[in-house]
Amino acid sequence: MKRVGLTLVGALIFVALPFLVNNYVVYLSNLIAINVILAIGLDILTGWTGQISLGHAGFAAVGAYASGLAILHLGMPFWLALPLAALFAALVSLVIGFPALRLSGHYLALATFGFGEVIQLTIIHAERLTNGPRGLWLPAPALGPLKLGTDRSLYFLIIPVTAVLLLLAWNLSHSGMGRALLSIRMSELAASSVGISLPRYKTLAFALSAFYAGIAGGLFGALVKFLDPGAFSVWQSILYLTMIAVGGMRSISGAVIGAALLTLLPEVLGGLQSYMELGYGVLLLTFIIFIPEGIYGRLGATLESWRSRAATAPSGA
Amino acid sequence: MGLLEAQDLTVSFGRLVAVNRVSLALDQGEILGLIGPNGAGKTTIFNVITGVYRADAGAVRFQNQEILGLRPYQVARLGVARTFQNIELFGGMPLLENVLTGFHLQIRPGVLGAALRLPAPARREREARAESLKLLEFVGLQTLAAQRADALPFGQQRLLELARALALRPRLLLLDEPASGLSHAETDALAQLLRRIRKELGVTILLVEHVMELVMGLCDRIVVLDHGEKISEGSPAKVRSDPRVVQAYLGADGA
Repeated sequence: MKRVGLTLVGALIFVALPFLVNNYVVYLSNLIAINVILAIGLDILTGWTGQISLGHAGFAAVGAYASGLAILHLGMPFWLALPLAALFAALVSLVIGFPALRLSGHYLALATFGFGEVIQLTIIHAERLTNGPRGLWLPAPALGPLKLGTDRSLYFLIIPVTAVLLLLAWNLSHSGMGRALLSIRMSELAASSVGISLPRYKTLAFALSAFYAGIAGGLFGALVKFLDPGAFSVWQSILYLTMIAVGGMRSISGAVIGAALLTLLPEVLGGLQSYMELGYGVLLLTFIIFIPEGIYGRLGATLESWRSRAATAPSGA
Repeated sequence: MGLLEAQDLTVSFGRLVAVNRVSLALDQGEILGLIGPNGAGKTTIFNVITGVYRADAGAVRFQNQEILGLRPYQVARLGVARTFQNIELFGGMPLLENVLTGFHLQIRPGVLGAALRLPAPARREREARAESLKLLEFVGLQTLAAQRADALPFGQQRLLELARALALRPRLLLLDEPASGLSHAETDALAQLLRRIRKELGVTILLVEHVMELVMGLCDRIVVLDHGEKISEGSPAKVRSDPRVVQAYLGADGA
């Protein structure tokens, strides 16, 4: 019963929110949700499987441009272009992942960094298709006769899509699949000794996370309606890594916290934006070195210790 | 009929020949000890059989199938399970989850089945969970099922590794120094457990071990390596009185 109540309250807030706040807040909510999708996808690869990607902005770019171009040039409806573009991003990840995942640690990070750069350069130079550095204007997406022109109408698409993807990721991580990925991160030697195929599951994690990045990219295009290669630089990839490191890896809440914080940070800092990249670097290092469990992990541990202290305090006094 | 037959195995690292033309065979239901001074090549042989290392020459047949060149997960699939000299557990996972990883091949998780929580994989997961608890009980760790593996004392970590290996329902179990670091009482309990594994589960065991008391008391036959070569083979009594074995051990001790 309690669960039903909570769900109802959540649904009510979800429906009412866009009408209670101004358009800018709705836009930011959409942007946060898109980054949550990306962070969750990256968490499957980095948090769960222990493989670092510095190229996720590349997969987001593939999703954004593939869906945008399919809509513009093929007249494909948005609802079809979005998942197909994400599948395409996953396919691209398989092509580069197959050789790259034989690498490990820093070498994989370097290979994915290279991939991100290649994607960006391809977009810049394939001018006849992508309009190069001048950027690509996209029409407002439509679902059948329903035109999603405003941020409010997009909110009702983006938030549910995010919720579904979160649910799928949660199910995935709480299954034998999640356990197999986690075991690879903890000990590749032991994982393969119980019959877990490293190439198979690393490739799978890579493809899943590229799929999530592809969806995020497609939704990003629908939200801002203008794509340019500069939006998908390596800084963006580092920002995604910072999100999961700051929020806390291997937890949905952690990814949500990290994505929200780092989406809002530049908005709050305003004039200091030119120092953003430096800021991300410092944040990332600080968390990896001093708070590797992230905000959510630290919060959980603190709550736990309070609770146990509260439980033992009366008998101790 | 041999369950595992290794013929003329040769493994080298650069110019160092770690294993030189070593042959050994295990019969179904046997416990074979593999002993020798440090650096004799015992762990190297384990790693070649399980696909972690490549051999330069030779052949390894398991149930008459050539397994040399297979990857570790493929060898595991054929029913060869192992433990590690420097314990390889999933430290951050609870004990139960550690054993559950051993049921990976039985659970066969797929992306769609997991993401959509389809009933068939969920049922396989539940069954594996029940069997994992039984295995924890078998090694005596059932009361700790929810604890993190890295919180366990050393001796119990070895038992947990054993339970995880048994989850594969192996035909052959390779144990790399399972008694190292164990107390006297723990070693006795381990010997009892290994006998039960052979008798009740019908598992054939290849045992690398330095603790002679365990090896001599438990093994049907023993193969002795020194500097990558087989210097003796036979019953515990025969091996113990072999002058070459005495020489190898005394030489190593005297150095």
